[in-house]
Amino acid sequence: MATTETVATAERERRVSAFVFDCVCHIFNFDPANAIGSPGQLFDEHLYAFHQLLTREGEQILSREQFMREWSVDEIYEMIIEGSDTDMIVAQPLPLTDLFHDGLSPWEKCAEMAAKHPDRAVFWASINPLEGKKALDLLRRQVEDHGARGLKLYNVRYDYGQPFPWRMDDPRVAYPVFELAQELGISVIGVHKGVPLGPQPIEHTRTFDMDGAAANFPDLNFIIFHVGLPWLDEVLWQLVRYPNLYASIAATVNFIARQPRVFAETLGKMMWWCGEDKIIYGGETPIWHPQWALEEFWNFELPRDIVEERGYPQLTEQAKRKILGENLARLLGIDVEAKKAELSVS
Amino acid sequence: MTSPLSAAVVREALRDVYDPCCADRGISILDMGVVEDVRVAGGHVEVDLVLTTGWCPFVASMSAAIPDRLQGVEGVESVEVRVVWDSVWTQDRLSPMAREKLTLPLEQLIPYREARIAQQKGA
Repeated sequence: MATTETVATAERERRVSAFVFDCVCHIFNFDPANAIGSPGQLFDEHLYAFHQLLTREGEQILSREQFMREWSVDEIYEMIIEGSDTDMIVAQPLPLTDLFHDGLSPWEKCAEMAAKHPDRAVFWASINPLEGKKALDLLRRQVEDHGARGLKLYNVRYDYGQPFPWRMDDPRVAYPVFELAQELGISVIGVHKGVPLGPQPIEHTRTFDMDGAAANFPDLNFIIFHVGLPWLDEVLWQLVRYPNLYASIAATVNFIARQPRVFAETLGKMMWWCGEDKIIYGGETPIWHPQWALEEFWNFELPRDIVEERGYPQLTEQAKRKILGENLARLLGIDVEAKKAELSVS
Repeated sequence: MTSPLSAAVVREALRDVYDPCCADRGISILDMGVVEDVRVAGGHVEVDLVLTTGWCPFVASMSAAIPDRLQGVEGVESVEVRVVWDSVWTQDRLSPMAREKLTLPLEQLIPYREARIAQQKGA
């Protein structure tokens, strides 16, 4: 099997015949000096372990030295846009200043990627709502001065060596952020759910707080990242009842090579309950090179026994197109056909 | 007289081992259905685990708790815990007691699903 490497688009045969709009990459700074104590180191180690464990057999597994370093804007962009069939990318900051000196993916670098590549890269803002007015001021700056078109949030802080959770339905902490986001023209808010970061208690990554957010802000669309795993049924409980809730399979899709039946069970259940319009692809570069998962997904079918026994719908080409890009484009108000013409995507 | 060491004896002992996320509800790793296989060879015990999700943050905890519990079982000399990736954990693996405690009544949402499908057909 060929190893996925970053090869210029012009030299590489496209293998995914869909418009691909990746909802997440981070400009990671895994330099060990960036981690704050053992909690930050633990998070870095989690991500490196996931890289090693889930990367498709035959692909390059990065050495510790290759992975645990400060990545540059250009490296990430080239890996995604030049090195894979991805057409557009969302650059997402990480505001994890409780675990890392620069938050792990500084917002300035994400804004830089969008500024350098306005046709293909979209910047999302990110703040720590527990910082009150400071957070609101930063959100305004990221939107008004740097063109942020979405917002990504994280519900658990680990300040002072202990967890400080906050909820998406908290009128004092979350709602002022949502109100300002709306005022600034933001209509999409992503939130990390499930998959605890480092030593964070997993209880605080559950998804029952999405009810209040979705019900009280019907004009905002919320994306629950990573399908909130392991809380799949909880996520479905929310997605089914609220038209403005979506789920991203970012990182979840990377089980597709190592555990295809696990991925099939998750995706099939999501499609049966919520339909293909509510599922959004994400690549999580550079934790994994995006191309192999894209190829696997484009060629993926749910195993026949799972479809027959559970009654799940098959993953059709139409569903793949929606999941890989059309759903996110719709949420961000991007006309896919016009964008394909602009980017010369056939 | 004590029972000779066997997989059944080991499984019985594992009823006292909990995944931290379900300990407060009294649901053991056996009830969770994460114990895929138990093998006994002399005094050596091997336990295979299948995770509810590959993201399971408690695999380290379970991997430590299992030897801790089994070292008190007569005849156990060594314990090896492995995670297997080829099996799939689904809710079908829950014991009836665990299913009753953990499962959301998703069937109540069927009208929402039917409304979505009807809307798509009408669109």
